[in-house]
Amino acid sequence: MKIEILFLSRGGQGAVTASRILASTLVEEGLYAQAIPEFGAERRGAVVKTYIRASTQPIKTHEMIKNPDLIVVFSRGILDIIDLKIFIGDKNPVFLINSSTPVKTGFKTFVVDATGIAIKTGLVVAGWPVINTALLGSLSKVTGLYRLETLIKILGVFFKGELLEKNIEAVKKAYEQTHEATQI
Amino acid sequence: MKSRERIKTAMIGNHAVAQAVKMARVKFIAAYPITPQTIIVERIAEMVERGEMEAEFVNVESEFAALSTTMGAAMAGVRAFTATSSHGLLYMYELTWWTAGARVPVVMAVVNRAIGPPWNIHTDHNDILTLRDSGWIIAMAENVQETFDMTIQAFKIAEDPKVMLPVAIGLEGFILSHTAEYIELPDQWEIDQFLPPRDPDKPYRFRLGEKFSIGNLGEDANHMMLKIAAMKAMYNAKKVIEESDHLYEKIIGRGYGGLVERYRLDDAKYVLLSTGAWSGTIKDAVDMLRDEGYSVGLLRLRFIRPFPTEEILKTLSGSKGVIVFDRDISLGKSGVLATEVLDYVDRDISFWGVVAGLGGVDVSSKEFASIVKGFVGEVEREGFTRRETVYYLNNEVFEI
Repeated sequence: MKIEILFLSRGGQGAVTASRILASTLVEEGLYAQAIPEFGAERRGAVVKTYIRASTQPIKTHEMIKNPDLIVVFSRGILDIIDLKIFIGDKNPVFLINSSTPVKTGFKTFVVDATGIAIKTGLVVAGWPVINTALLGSLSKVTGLYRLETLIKILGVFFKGELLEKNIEAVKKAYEQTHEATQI
Repeated sequence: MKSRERIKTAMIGNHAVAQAVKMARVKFIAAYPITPQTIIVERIAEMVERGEMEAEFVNVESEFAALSTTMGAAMAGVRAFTATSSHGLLYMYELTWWTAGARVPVVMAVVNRAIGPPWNIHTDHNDILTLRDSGWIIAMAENVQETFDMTIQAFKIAEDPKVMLPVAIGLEGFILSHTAEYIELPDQWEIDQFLPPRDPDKPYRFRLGEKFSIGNLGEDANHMMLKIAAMKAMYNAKKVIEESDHLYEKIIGRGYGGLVERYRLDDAKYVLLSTGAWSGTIKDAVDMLRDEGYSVGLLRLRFIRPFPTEEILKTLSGSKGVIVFDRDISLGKSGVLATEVLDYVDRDISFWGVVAGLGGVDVSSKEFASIVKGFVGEVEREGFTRRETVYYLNNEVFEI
């Protein structure tokens, strides 16, 4: 088994941190994992790509992911400026999108209002709702690759105290609220 | 060997280096931040600050000062470490020759990054290869696990009385430095067993109040004699590198094969040759090609200095064709590895030196496989091909 995941986010949304939490969670579940951030001249607000691999076998490659099995979109608005065709090859990707309403991608699509969850949970830093961990809660449900309790255990490595509690609340809510909203 | 429950986690390459420096019980670190190396220095500084490492961390004003200070500490007998990248390495360049010439066993992580202009923060191997003729032992890691293991082994090699040369470990910017990967961490007692404290008196020791001079102006013949002695140490290092790898495998349970790693080379008619992180990608290409019936394997250079001449000779003799992948270029000649490997490729063996991936340009396993197919196709069609330098960019192999 080998799964390739692409995070599409904006600089500052915490996708790189999320990818590292995800990689640690996958390893905790007994899988091999790899999280490659694509850094460039990006600054806060620019579109950032992050690549995650999960596999039952050791991962040898260090190439970028061109044709992911799963695409996680941190802001719905990214879909207006990115041509999704560049990520579609011989596999049809599944989408997980941070959105309060259904989104038409032409592929199997899950949505979760991660922004709403972050605001309600009080996960807002400098005016930015912090949605990265919530999306990992959703991803647990969408992929079935790891359990929510494993994710929560790993969150305890990255966060402490009140911040940890809020993140745990966010991932639980996101897990519950993630639903399929495929529109072909 | 008794079975152990090891810590298994995902870690980025820079943290793996910092963790190895801690577990090697390094006593002195001086470094100056530069992308993509900064996280190594930050993490070490945090660990020293929190008291997790019994070491002195010195903030310095430049890379030149970083290596001067590290070299000084090592001359006083302690295990010392620094780290840099690209332009930072160039800024400390003069001191790299002093360190090697004075036979000071420091270890330095070089987080590979292209040298500008044009300004670039992504990987290629040209930065660490500027050390090629300086007397530094040069190692290149393939993944985060090896980055950790190599850093530990580097101290063992550098401090061996038969070697006494500095070691540079290359880990590639972003695709290793910032990439979180599966890693198994040994216990501290295992590392301690592999790497005892450094003998502070070897090769010599500076002490406060004692008069001592090193590297002074001497007779010209002495200069040449010392260069020959350093060359002998490089030859000695070959055996020490292999022995260190074996001992590490015995104690910690993971070995790599010494100076080179051989991947699916048995009976391979065509030999691919590379170094660094994209070797993992090339291994995937080898798997794809083998599935399609191509007789290929990979010889990965773990060390570039000392150069694994014997291993290369042994592998290449009797092969039908050789492709060297260079993520570097010696402008006016060819890829650096191609130049060096060509010495050992008989005139009747087909050869391509492929320069690719400069400035971090991503090359996928499918692309590697397609380059190899192009090469094999040419050999089968024409009976022979010999191209010292071809370039691969934007899905195209071309000459200029």
